[in-house]
Amino acid sequence: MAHDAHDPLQHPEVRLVNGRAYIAAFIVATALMTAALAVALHGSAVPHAMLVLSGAAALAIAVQIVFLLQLDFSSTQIWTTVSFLLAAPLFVIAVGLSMWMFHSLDARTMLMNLMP
Amino acid sequence: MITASGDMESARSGLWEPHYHHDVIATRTLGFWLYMLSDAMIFAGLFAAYGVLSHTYNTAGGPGLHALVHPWTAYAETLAVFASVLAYGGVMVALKRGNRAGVLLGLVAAFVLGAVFVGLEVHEFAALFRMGIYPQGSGYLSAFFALVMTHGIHMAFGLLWMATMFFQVAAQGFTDKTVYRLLNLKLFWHFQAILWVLVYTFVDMRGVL
Repeated sequence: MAHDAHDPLQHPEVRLVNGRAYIAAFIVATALMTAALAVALHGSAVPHAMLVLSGAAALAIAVQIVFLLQLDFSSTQIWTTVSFLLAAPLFVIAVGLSMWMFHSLDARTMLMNLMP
Repeated sequence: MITASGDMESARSGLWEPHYHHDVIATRTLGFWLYMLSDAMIFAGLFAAYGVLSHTYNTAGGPGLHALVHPWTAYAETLAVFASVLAYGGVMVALKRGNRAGVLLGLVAAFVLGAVFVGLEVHEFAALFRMGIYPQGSGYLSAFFALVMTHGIHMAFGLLWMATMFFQVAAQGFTDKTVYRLLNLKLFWHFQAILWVLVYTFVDMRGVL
């Protein structure tokens, strides 16, 4: 993390910028979201459409993490990457457990059985 | 290493030695990144609430997701966000080359494209309001507006930050402060694109299905 440079433009976090990675991220993420739109518009014809959409989103996010945020295990990015790897499960747990807890609420409370 | 008695002679050979160089840019970008990760937990809470409240029961007889989303508008918003992020990538490339005019031009492009996104979203919400669809209409609508608006407000603050950086870079050039702020804005802006992928998929596209 420490380095000795007086010119801020020589800082490792500036030097790791890669224009081609930005273009690749744009092309891949746009293609995936275009495919997601096509799947959603023809949802009835696509088996497990929601699963396909989730897969496209996961792939688009992975591409953005690698090419835009440039998270890797280099000495410049290691702290950023590790903090992200430790925080990502918290995100999944917070959303996943909430969804799981309420998934069968109707069966356990009968409230939703009152719906027409 | 510093000893239990804490004598200064020992301290000089450790991390606290007087000539130890403190990397301001790396420290501040890491600090901001940790802030972004805690910001992501706000979205985790909003996505959790949205997932829980998306059952028909929570619409209270009002409009559900199918009535709220417009797939082509959402797609246009996606293109605007991704293009803005790409333009900000241009800012970073210009920064690496020490090209001040390139940085300023990239900031303008990223700002305009980001403003297109915010404009589309405002237009979308205005249409819903005209139809009498408000956040207080039902538990589902509260969760929907809270999630999408929180992302939109983040985008609006990103635009404000870009405008600020435009004038700072124009006036001060590339100093430690302007460089770490541009790097932090990069983290912020790219993070909004990642969150938008989640909103686009689990709100808009899910609503179209």
